[in-house]
Amino acid sequence: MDILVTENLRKYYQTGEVQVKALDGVSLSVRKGEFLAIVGTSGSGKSTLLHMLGGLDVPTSGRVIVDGKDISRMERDELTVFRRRKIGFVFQSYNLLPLLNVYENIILPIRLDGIRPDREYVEQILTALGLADRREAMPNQLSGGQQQRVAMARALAAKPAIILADEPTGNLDSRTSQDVLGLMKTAGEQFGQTLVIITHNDEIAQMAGRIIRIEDGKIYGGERHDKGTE
Amino acid sequence: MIKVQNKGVIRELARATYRANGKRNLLTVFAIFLTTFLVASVTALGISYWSTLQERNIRMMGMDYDMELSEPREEQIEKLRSMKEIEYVGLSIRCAIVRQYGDKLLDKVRLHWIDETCWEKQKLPAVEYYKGEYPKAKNEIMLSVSALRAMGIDTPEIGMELPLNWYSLAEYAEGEETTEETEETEQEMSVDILKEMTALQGSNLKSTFRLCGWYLDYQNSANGYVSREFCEFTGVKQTDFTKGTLFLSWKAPFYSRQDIADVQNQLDLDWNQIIRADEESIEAFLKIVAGLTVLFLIILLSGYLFIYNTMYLSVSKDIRYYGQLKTIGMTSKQLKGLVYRQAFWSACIGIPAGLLLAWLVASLAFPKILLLVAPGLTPVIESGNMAQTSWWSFLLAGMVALLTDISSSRKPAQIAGDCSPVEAMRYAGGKTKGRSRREHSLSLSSMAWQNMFRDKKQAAVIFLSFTIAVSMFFIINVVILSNDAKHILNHVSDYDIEFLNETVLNGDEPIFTEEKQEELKAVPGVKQVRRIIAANGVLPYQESYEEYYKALCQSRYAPGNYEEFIADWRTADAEDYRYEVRVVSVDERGFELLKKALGGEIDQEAFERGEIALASQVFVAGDQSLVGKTARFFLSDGKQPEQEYTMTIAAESSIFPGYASVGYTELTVSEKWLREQVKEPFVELLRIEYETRFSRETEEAVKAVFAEDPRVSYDSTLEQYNDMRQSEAQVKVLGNGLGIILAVLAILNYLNVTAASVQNRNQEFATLESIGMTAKQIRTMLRFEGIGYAGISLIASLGAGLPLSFLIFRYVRTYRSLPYAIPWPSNLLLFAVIALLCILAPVVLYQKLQTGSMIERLREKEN
Repeated sequence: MDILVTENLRKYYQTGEVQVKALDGVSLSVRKGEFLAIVGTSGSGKSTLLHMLGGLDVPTSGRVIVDGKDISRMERDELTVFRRRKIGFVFQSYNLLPLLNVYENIILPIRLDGIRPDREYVEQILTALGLADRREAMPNQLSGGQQQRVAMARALAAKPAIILADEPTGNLDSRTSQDVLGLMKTAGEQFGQTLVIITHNDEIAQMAGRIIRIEDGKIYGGERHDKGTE
Repeated sequence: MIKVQNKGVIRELARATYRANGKRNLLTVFAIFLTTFLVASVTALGISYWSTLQERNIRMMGMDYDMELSEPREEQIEKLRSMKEIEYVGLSIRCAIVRQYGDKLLDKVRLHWIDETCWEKQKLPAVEYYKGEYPKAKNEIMLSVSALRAMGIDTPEIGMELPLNWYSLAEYAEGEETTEETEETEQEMSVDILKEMTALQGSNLKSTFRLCGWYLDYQNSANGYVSREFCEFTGVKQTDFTKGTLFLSWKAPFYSRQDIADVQNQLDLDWNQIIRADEESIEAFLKIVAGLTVLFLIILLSGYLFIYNTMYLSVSKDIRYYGQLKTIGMTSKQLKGLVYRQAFWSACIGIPAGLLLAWLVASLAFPKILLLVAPGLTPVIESGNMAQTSWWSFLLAGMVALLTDISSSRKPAQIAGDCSPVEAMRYAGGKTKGRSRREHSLSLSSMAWQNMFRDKKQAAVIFLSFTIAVSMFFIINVVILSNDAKHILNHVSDYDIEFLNETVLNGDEPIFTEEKQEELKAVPGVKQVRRIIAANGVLPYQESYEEYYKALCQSRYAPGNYEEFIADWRTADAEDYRYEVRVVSVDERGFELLKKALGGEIDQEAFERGEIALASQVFVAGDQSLVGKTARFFLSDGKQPEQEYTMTIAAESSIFPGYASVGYTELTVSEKWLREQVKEPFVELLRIEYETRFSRETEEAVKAVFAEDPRVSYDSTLEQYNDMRQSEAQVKVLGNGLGIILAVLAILNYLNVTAASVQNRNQEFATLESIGMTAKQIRTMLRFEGIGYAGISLIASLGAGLPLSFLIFRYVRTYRSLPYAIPWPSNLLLFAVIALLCILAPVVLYQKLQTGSMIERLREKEN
């Protein structure tokens, strides 16, 4: 079953007199529980694609269908609630809230939904990501790697159906990167989550079930292989 | 070190930076402009306000003086004139009373002669306006507008002839009872009547005077001035008891108790001479200076906070830029100079503009506004009596504004100068310091609370500026209310118009008949017609009154030998006016008002049955010797003059509901009882209450009832109201002007901070939205922040404003009996406006500033 579908997705920008085609007719489908890696050079359009999948950006044309719903036609607040419940997003620049401590940052999306967080599960994530002793720390007390792990913990904590991660291991050493990705995969398997990540790291990409390459706003490749999680 | 010529480069850079940040600098210019305007207008208007208030107080007193000496002897006058601490010594002699103009009976118009110093230096400053000149010839007279009004002259003309019946106040007999001439207290007026009555037995003359001038003063009393020649003609001397008064003005703005004592010690006072002075003058002066200083500091602080805030926000936004400049080699000193230079340029635009506006407001708009709200002030404004603003107040304001601007820039300049290049790149104004903390509740309200205090300085700026403005507004409103004519009159008079039967004690003609009373009741808009029925009685000798008379004999009003008095009393006959008692009555409404004023429990039924009465303590203030004792009296005007009545004195009151007393003894009884005892009830006074207080239509209709009767005079609250409105309007315009400016500053400050805060948090809002906070939830959170700001500021304002306004009220109230009252409607309106603004502004700004897709907003900071 396809949980993520894009149909002829385009995103054009006008920069002065030049038109930039960030995405140029991308059609893609991702199955439930699949682990997909998006690779490509800088400026190829991979982040734009991820943002479109998460409803963070509006396409110039085309549709994005998540779990059977066309998110490109949703109202702003409807989309926010939908994203809160279905999608966990890991930003390249972490986007942690400076006034909240580590634990609060992680559980905020759950609390915004008026739900009590699964403390046991959150503890499990904190331990697995090596943040157990930093739970009361404020973001500006953390290193880049630690902040990235907090961002990841936040995406995992709400047990969303889809996790979208933009360079989630960009600031981590290779060992930690492997561990973190391992955790994401395990969680994915346990909760049937779909994982879509952007990476420059070949080793990480190789852990995915499918790799797609984007160049100049178009998809190249996309073969599935055994390592993917179905 | 080699000196490098780089000033030009810095100047160029500062210019380029200043130009690039045009919009932001406009806000700084605006902040400086507003502060200058505020400082200048407060200095100018404050001086004007202060002078107006002072002038009003002087006008209320009727003369501009500090001390008075009764019955001055010539050598005392010489002595006082030679004292270096005394600036002016003015002499006044009350010499005659006018009782009738043509065929119109008057409620005594007092005539004084005052010397040149008294007229020019002490009377004129207390006069609203005057026309003509002080009387020189014997037949010349100058009258107050009230006196002319009482005579029915609405359009007086210089030179018009006035046929007047008058009598001299010269002492005609040894041991004559004497009176106290001062201002309009009921006490003194009643004593005066006694005196004048006895004087009537002397000479009653008819002369034609020539009107040589008139004046309007706030005292609203019918009086006038005559020439020295006339005064001499009356035979009244300055040393006659209560006739002569010496008014002294000190050189210093204040004087101490010791100063008063020193003067007193040098004068060799007679036993009956008294010196009156405000012993608290020095305290009052210090209070005023302290009050004004606090007000000025508050304004400076408001201005400082506003300028500081705009500069701080501006530098915070540019901190990366300053960091970059540092990386390429600019020193801290140069960076600070860059900020100071920009602050100075903003000041160069803002200060002159602010001064100009303040000047326009003070000299052009202010009189126009006054004319608009108080057309009655036209003669004052046109005569140039209104307090003028002086150039030095603007110079001072300009200097103060520049100093405020420079000192407000210090901290922002320091931030720019001290930033480390690396930190500057990461700088995000107002982030919390990295300190671990336990988990908080993540409700929207708790997040809002944390946001409010994320930058404690900014929060303090907002709270402080709001608290200052609202407290000031609160205080100003209390001051305005305490000067509100309606408010004052509602407390000091319980009727709208009072009609007096001028034949009272002089024939007691029955003018206020039942028919007339019914006619008044039938006037549309009349709520209540209260009558004061009075009768004369005699007090036979009784022990219960001994202490009262003892106190009376020791008083200034009826000095005498108590033993002789008692001995006389024991053998007095029923005709002796010295032992007469004036019995006045009040109806149910009158009793209700008296009871309210006395604040005690008085048995109404026993009062109506004639078992209890109230005694007046008009002449022996503070003496309570009669309470609980019985009073025995005969009613000379009663059906049975031989019957002796006995009543228990339930209370002694300084309020005497009647008009006049024949002796020093007065009793207030119930109307029901008195009516049963007298043959023909004599109504001396009618007090009328309207459905709508101060109703002009009702007043006109009511006045028409007695318009043709010269034996009736009236005292109208509406007329007092019209006179008082003039000063009320000044206080209102000045006070409200100041309050509004401060409130505008606080509001702009809040908007500025909120706009910066919302803009700074744009990326954060996008993050919140990206992880699932809906725009609705964000708006709710912002509303909570607004509620927090408004709530804390308003509570703090109440905390500061209530006690401060009470303190200030106690000082500025014009009538001591006026209770402290909070003008809730205007304050609640302001509270509501501030609350609404605090709640709506962040939401509106959020919606305005939320442009672009979420991803654009998320990237905002990175770019």
